[in-house]
Parts: sequence; C-alpha cells; structure tokens
Amino acid sequence: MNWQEALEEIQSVEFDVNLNVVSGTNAFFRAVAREPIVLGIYQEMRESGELREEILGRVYDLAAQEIDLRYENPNDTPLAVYLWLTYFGAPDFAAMTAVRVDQAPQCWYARKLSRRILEPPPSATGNHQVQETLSRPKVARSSSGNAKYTMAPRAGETWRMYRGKLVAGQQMQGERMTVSTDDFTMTQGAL
Amino acid sequence: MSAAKDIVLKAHPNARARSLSSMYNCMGMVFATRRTWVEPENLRMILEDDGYRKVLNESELQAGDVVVYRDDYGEVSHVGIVTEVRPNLAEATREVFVLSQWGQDGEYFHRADDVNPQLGKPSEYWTERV
Repeated sequence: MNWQEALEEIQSVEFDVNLNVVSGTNAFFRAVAREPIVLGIYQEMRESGELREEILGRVYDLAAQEIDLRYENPNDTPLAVYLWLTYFGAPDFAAMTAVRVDQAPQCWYARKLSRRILEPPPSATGNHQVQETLSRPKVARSSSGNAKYTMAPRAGETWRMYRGKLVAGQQMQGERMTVSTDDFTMTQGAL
Repeated sequence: MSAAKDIVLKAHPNARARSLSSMYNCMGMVFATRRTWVEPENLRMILEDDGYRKVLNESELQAGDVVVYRDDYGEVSHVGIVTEVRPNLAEATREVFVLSQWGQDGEYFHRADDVNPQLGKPSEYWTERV
C-alpha cells in the first residue's frame, strides 16, 4: 500500500467506524497511536516533504468542505488523525494545522486536539498534575521483544517518568534518543 | 449510523444492535441514562461516589452489574451492563453477556469478550448491590 492509498484508507468509512468505537478522547488517541496504517504514515512523513504537504493540503480541503450542520462533521476522524500526525511528524506545522482544523465545524476529537495545541492548559506552566495524555507513536521494536521507541524531541521539550511512562519533565536538548518503555505519553501541558 | 452498524455486525456477527445513537457513549449509557458523553477517566470517581463495590468472584455476577474493560495500556477503555450470566456446563465456565454502547457506533448486545479490539478486554466487574 503506497501512502496515497493509506491516506484514502484513513478517510474511509471503515476506518472511521473502527476508531469511533472507543469512548473517550484519550482512548481515541491511544487507538490512533496503535493503528499500523497511521504509524506507517508517521514514519514516512518524517522523511517525505511531499507527504507532509499532501497531508496539510488534505487538512485544508477536508476542513473547508461544506457539511450538514445538523450532524457531526464526517471528516472529524481524518482531521483528528492528520492533526495528530502533523503534531508528531511535522511539529513545525502543528499550530498552523490546528488553526485550520479548529475552524472546521461540528468536529469532536479533531477539535479536542486542536484546542489542546492552541490553548495549552495550566499544566504547561508548572502544574505537573497529569490529567490527560496523548500517546506517542511507536516506531521500532527491539529484537529482544521489548518495546523500543525512537523519537526526536524538540529543543527545550522536557520529559520525565510518570507512573512508569515517559512524559514531559526531563530536560532534553533536542537530540534524537531511543528508550525502552511500554508507552510514550505526552502531557497535554507539553502541547 | 446504518453504515456503522453494518460494519460492526460484519465483524461481530453474534452481536445484536439495540439502537443507533451517537448522543452518548458507553459511560453515558451506563451512568447517565443515555443522555450524554462521560469520559472514561471519570469512572473511578463515579464508582466511589455511587457506592459500587468490585465483584471479586464471577459466581456472584448478576444482570445489572457493570463490566469494565481495559486496553493494552491498562487504562479504562469501555464499560457495559451485564445482561446475562449463562453457565457453560460443557466447559465448566460462565459466559457473560453484555449490553454496551460502542463509542459513536451504536448500542449492542454481545458476549463480554466479543468486542472490537479497540475496546480492550473485560477486566473487572462492579456492582451496586448491597
């Protein structure tokens, strides 16, 4: 499956139905982080500027579509997934994408994520109570079977361990790092 | 919603749709009389405030008890209401049947473990019986 087909899959009814069986914002984004097709796109978009542009273009197109305002926006799921991908895969474009997503009417999960990006909660300024998390994409697995994750924190982004998970708090200098843990989570404050 | 029902029932042919609404989620069905969405993160508070107790032995289970599902992360991912506990004499086990709302995809009768993988696995049962 090439990435054009993968993006079409993300915009399909089947994908929407499968993700929307979950019952909460955090569960939704944990489900996004588990989707192989999303992780494949995530890996590819870190290398491909063309793919990043394509996703941005799709966000603009989907957000601009006229919808029946009596119902939920049918593009809620792909907009949420594309914004999630942009946040982790092309963070420099996250705020710009979030603004566009935020303007799309009748969205639920996409709006939740855009709000978190555009209006970081008080925890970002020193209140370390972790209330909501976003799962970070898993991109590698060690030969020993232990889950391994590779990520490239942005300069100044801070990380720490919380309840056995790596979350914002421990100072990093923007260099790439690989760690072994069961899960990556990001505090909403880090957004 | 109709498309969602078709897709869900294709993957879970033994499930049966009860109703199709996205006005509430599984938490809203169980704890808010189908009026609204309630984030699963509030489950612990609701169980404590409403005086629920954990069912320690499956033999105690009764219709009306609450089943809690957890995902791979150990987080609460889904809840439902037990509708029937059917003894399976051949295998000396009990089959638990549940009614639950699958996110925005509608409300279904199903076996407790016959759910979309995104909903996790049944991990514990709670009751408000004395």
